[in-house]
Amino acid sequence: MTQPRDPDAIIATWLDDGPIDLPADTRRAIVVGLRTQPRARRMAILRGMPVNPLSRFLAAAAIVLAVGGLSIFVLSNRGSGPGALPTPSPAVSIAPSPSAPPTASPSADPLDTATWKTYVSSRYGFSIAHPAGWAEVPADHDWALPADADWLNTATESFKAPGGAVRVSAWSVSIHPAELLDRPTLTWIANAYCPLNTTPCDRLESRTVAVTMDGHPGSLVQFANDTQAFFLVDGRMYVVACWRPDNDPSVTKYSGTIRLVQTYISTMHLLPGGPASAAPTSPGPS
Amino acid sequence: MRTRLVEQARDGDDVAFAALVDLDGDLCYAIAYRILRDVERAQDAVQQAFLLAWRELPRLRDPERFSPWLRRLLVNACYEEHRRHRRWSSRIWALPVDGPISADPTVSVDDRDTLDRAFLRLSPQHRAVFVLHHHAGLPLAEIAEIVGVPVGTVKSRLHHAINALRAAIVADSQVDSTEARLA
Repeated sequence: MTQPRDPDAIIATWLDDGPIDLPADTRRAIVVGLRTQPRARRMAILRGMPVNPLSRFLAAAAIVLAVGGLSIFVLSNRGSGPGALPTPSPAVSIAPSPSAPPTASPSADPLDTATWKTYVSSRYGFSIAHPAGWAEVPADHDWALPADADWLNTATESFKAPGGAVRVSAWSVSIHPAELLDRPTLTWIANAYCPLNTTPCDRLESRTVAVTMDGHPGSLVQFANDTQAFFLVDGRMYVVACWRPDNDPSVTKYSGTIRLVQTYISTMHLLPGGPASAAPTSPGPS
Repeated sequence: MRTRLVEQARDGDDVAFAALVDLDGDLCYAIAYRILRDVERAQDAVQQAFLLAWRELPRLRDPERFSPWLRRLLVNACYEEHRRHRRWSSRIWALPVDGPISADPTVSVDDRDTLDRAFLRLSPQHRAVFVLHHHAGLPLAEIAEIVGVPVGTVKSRLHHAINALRAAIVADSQVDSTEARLA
């Protein structure tokens, strides 16, 4: 003997079953993926304007005339006489080729920092300057692995460009003495830091250039989606990172992330008293 | 709060967008899973929807419309996932281990299997309308906007979907009754 069953109740219960929380791995994949996504252009000027076929034709014709006129002007002035336009010098390309990982190259002089504002991090024991108008986002706890491996962690002293499209982070962490091997900086990056934070982690040397911070030698490494500089001073690693690919449109006005990071570290100085918290927080070598 | 985050994300603030992922991720995942009945494909669909949202957000004119706009991207991502795995899904049934087993005794394993099979026989368009209405609780007009069809079509799809599921349960119950009598 079976009791009558309510199909709608069964369907409702069946529909409610199932996962309801987006897994952390998927969240992380989305957030990491943001750095590699080209963004659509915002059509602010044309917004709200009526667009009919005639106005489209006129706009297209104006663009063609402008481009054509500019081309003729450039061609007519190329390479002749003292009034000629300068020929563009070959740019140093640091864009990754399909078959090779990205390579870092020393770029031109740092940006002009005359108007930059100095920020002091007593937590991490340094001062550093950032462009005027950038927002300061102070760290709310001491940086440590693996808890703060995510680039959007809140343990770094961060600086956000107006609109938030570019973010530069700076922090420091004591290094476990066992990690002080022959090449401690690259060893720590390759073994302890990179696998949790960024990619690719192989062939670091081919993507590294030597830099200095407050007289201390360090390494500037170009990763696929970010550029980071590392300085090991008295058993403590100081890191400055810009979380964008070097050729990302959002950093074009700063001449790319390599030049931006170089400029940041050119303003960086260690505090005489060291950081407020100097306890070792980095895990040992794996 | 949400509108402000959308505006910041539209201007390029990825931290604000990450906050939107935190706010909307769970519901998007719940919807995607129920449309696709597959954990991994649902995760892929949610990821695709959010990354597309990040790319296209500068074109969103009204930040207040972010949620229905995001759901439209999500539903389209589910359609795409369905197309991509159509050959697989026609041969492989989702196992009940994909989701937690219900503690509710009114839904037996047989019920679940019956409903899963009946649901997977529906088109993704029918599934989306059914899930958006009966799980997400959205009104028909908003569903029509999300899936891009008239309200009448939404009603029709909803009617078809619920009838198909009811019929499957009723048929299954009749089979059980017959087997019980024979035993």
